[in-house]
Amino acid sequence: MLLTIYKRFGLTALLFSFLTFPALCQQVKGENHGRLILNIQERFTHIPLVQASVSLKSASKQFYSLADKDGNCIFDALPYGKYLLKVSCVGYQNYGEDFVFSSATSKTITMTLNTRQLKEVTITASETRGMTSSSTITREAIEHIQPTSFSDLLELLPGGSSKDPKMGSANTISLREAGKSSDHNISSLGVAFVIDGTPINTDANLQFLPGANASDPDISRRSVNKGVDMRMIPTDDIEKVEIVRGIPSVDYGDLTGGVVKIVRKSKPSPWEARIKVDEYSKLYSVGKGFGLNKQRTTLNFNVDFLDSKVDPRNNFEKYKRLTGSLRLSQQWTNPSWRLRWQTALDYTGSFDDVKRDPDISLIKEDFYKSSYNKTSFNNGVFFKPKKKSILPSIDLSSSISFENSLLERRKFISIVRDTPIPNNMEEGEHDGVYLPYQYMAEFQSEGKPIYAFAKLKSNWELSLGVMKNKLAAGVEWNYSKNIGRGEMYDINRPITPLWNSRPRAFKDIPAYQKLAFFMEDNITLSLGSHIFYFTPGIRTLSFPGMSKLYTLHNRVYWEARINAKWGFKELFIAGHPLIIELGGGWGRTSKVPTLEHLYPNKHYNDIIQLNYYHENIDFRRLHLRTYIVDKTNYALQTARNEKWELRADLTYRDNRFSVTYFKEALNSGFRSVSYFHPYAFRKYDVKSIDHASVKEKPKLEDFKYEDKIILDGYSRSQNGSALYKEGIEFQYSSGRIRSIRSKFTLNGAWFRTTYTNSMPLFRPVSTVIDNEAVRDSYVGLYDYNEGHLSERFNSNLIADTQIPELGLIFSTTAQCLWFTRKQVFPKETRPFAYMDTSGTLQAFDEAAASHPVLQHLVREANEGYTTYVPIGINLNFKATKELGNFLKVALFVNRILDYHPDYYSYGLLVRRQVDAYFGMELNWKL
Amino acid sequence: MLLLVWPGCRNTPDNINRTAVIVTLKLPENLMNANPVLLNEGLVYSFKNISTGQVFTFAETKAILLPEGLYDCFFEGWLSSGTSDKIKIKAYAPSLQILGSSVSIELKSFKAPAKSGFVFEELFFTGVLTPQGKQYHGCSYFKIRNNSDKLLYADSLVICESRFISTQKWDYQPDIRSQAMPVFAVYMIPGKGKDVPVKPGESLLIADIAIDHRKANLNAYNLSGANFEWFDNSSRPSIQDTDNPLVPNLDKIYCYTLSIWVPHNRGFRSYALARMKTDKDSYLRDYIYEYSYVMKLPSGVFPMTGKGYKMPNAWMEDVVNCSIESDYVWNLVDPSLDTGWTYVSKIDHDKTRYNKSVRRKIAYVTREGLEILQDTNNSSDDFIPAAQPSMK
Repeated sequence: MLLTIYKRFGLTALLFSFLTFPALCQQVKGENHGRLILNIQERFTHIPLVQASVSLKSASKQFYSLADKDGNCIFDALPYGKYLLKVSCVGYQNYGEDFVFSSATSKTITMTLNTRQLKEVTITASETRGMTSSSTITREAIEHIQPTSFSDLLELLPGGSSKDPKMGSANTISLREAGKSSDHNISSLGVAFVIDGTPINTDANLQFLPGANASDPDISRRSVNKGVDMRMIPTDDIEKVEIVRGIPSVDYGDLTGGVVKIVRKSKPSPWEARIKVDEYSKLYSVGKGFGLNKQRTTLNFNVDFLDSKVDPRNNFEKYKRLTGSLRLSQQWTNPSWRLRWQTALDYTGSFDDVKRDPDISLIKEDFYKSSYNKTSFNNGVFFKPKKKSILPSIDLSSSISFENSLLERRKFISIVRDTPIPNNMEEGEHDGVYLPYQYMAEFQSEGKPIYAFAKLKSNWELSLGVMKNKLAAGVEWNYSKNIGRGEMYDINRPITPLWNSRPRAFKDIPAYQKLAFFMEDNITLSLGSHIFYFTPGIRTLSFPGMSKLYTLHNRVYWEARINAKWGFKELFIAGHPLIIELGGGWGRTSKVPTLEHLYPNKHYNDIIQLNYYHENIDFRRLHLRTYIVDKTNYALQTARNEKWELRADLTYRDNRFSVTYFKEALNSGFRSVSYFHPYAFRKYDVKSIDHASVKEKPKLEDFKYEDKIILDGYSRSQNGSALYKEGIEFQYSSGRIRSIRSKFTLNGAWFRTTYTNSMPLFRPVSTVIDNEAVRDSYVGLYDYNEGHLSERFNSNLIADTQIPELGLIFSTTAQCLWFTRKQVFPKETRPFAYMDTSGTLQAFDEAAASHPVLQHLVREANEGYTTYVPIGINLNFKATKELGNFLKVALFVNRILDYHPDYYSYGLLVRRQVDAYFGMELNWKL
Repeated sequence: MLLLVWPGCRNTPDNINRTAVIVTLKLPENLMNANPVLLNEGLVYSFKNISTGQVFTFAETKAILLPEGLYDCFFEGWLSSGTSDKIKIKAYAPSLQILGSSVSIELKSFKAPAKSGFVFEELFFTGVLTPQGKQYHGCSYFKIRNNSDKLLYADSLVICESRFISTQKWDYQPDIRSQAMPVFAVYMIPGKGKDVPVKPGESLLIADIAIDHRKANLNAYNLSGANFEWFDNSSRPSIQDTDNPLVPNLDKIYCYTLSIWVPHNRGFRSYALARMKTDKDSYLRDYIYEYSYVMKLPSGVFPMTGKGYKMPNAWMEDVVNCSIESDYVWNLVDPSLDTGWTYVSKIDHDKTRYNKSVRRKIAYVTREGLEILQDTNNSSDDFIPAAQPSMK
């Protein structure tokens, strides 16, 4: 009892003991008493046990004391008599004896270490014993890994490996993949993040710099259409994470890949503070869980601040994160039901800041800043009947969140040639103006997405003989709207030559709603000693309020998912049971398009009809024709994935082995695809005017002209990306081997992923023949597999050693990447069709292949290739040491040792070198 | 073919390993007379050690002994042609590995061209910087000069940029360098044959944009007096070149890029001046160069194909190879066109390369006061590297 109290309320109990003891002593002063000194020590080492608690209980009275730093416990005036002596100390077996105190004496009590009672912690992800393949990561594992953000936890998944923080780019997730591809954002967009039952919605994120060039800081940092940026998710208030890699329950939708379920702490806990320091960052976090109202009410709060650099040597590229969370949970109980209300108020701030080094750059004013502030208010009411009730349990969750994001970019622009300002907002012909040769451009994009979410779910239980049914049904509604003022800049001083874009207000974009119904039956069939689990489910998806123009209007998408598992009769081997479970599943999942996919900004096609140069700037004349193109693809559909998997799980004593084979096929991932269209314009000939006689700005009529048609392209969202995943994931964990106090975990995965396109693509050539660009007249349509196949096999061997009496946990992980292979597909160089200025497609036949201009549509290309990288092993070391009851010190060194042998690749010797990444942290618990 | 073989021996009196070099000289083909004889006078076999810069010169192939190392070999000599005229021949073999006791090398000689015609007088490709330190490249220019003593016409002269770069070499197949130069851009001086006369010693200034650039950038030059400009015509706002109506444009026959053509501003490419000897349509139809190569990188083997045009060596008036010392790998053209290369900077991404050009040296001044520029088809010798631009 005391032990429990100490564990939970160590400090309070300690104070209580000190306060009460002198009072008790005063009461027992008299003649029949004496001094008792107890020395408490460890049985073998005779080390004094500080703060061992001692109780002496007689028939009428009870005395308490704590051992001092020498292990002594002194009772000054203890009445003689018969006592029950009890000694307890954290980590040791309780000691008890009947003790007769008849004269002042001293006594030594030895305590035996209780290794069993000390809680061992799991510092790896464990395979969840559920209906589909998923990994569970507990608080202890999170603490041991010493993360900076949620991204760091992914190394625990089968197929995962440790990675250094990348704070200068959006950290997007990918599950069960061997590579990556910029045309396959669906990888990360299709993974749902659910925090305390509320999904993180990113559909209305429109924060990006249009027309940014590849080296712009915005390119790596933007997360539009990429899903959740894991840099923003702190880990210090997470209690548990479950990452569903397989076929998720129909409870979860709007995803193609998997689900990341994050459960945050909602229980009384001591004050906890953490400081982590590594090469890249400093992280501070503090939190506490208050138990109020006889533990019926808990109030948790957590504050986290991260200050990081993208490169430790560069002071001008920074990332900061500030998060705060306040969560209240209230419980009411009644003999027949239990009601819990959970509410949370959360704030997340994320700040990117990039400047130029003023010491090495002449242009000091350039900067990039992106701030993200999100406030959300979540509520959940959970009604649960006690057993044997006919009432269903009902969960009602809701959330509303508001984001305030601002992207700011300032850039010094220097141009070489007379360049028109893309400032015309209307279609038609108009005179243009030139940009100055140098100017400071400013750009702002204000995004204010509002998201709302509500979900009602009900569960029943129904037993039909050997068949037990747990039914679940529910409805989920999501709402997204961006009320930001959008892109704001001086249209006459564009930040990049934003030729195809004009500012737009995000608040003009309609709201976007998603409505889903789902129903699932968890069937358990007991067949003798075998158990069969079967979970069929169905989920619908529709888009209320969607404009009739869209294919999504009034469309209902159905997703069926089935998971099954067979639990075999226990087999006894050497007196211990071998538990075998075989399972599998099949399911369809789909991800809806984002606001950016559905409501892209208009494409402005400005065609220069006349660009007349005169030495006198007043006589120059620029004339343009502007076409405004609606880039919206009204036929856009959801991205649909079909998944199936087979699983086996074996448990014998403390050993467990699980293996999963999976296959996924997604043909309709979102991709930006180029489209071409003919545009008519009038080309004025600048040399047709007598330049010498020009005495004023010339009139259009003074020039000769030619009516021309030009092909021009714009990109449009399409269901054109294909992503095929295949692989095997495995995990083995041993029991703890007492002699070396260590437990071994081996996990790993073989992944084969194909990234390609599912539709033919237009690819313009850049060649100019006889003063005319080929692409102005002809664009080829190529039927080829763009993309690549990636394959890799890795394994992680984790030895975790726990010495509780020293408060020491350390783990050594050998992360072995056995091979990676990338096969880039050969590209078809010859088009099968081409578009000409009539806007129609023509077959690319032999006549075309020998046409003087069309022959250039046969592209130069690489013919496909394969790269292969052999074995590389990194050894990572992590340790946590408890110092007293309040302080924990932890450190980690990734790649403390490594093995990356030189290898020959196509006759060339490749040497590889890796650097260590290390850091340490302090944790206080009060 | 003439064989000059001499046995070599290894001699180490000063502990330096020396290698005997056995030279095989191949005489040029397609000479007018069938039996040319190499004259014994005036023979120069010159070996330049690439590492030390030391030059070893021999007048005969007997007993050529060289310290081990990497050498460039130059050869000059004369052939008797059967008539009273002698024919000057040259040969050039770059990057020879002279190692071991003896090494056999083959020198393919070619007829040294008789110099009279158009040459590049100056190439300015690095551009300048703005006062804020940004690149400004609208003021690139080429100067071509009538280096003869006769009136010449520049009609149909083309300026070409090489397809490949001198700092990276793959095994491009087919290797057509002995017949033609693979090109990436072909701009032609318009004219019907006698429209663009150029007097002896006079030059044509051919600019990217023929305007006074100082109005846009104080560091740039006044090129408003240029004879021609290369204008990249486009209706796209993002690709707007400036067209000075007072200055005629070059005829853009072919260019690899949709956007504005800017000569390589780090100086990796070669430039050719050639006479277009066919009509434009025939050229565009018949002179396509399709090639393949295999990029061998540590990350893998990458079989590639490519497509461009070629400019026959027979049409060439002048070729200038450019490179940088730190990254130089190969000469992009046949040695008969240029055996050397010139430069503006010695290292890649040199921040001091701007505002510098390469200019041809003056060989001599005639009695009439005409400056004749040096043209030995060796740009290493003929050019002043990193020179002050004449238009500055």
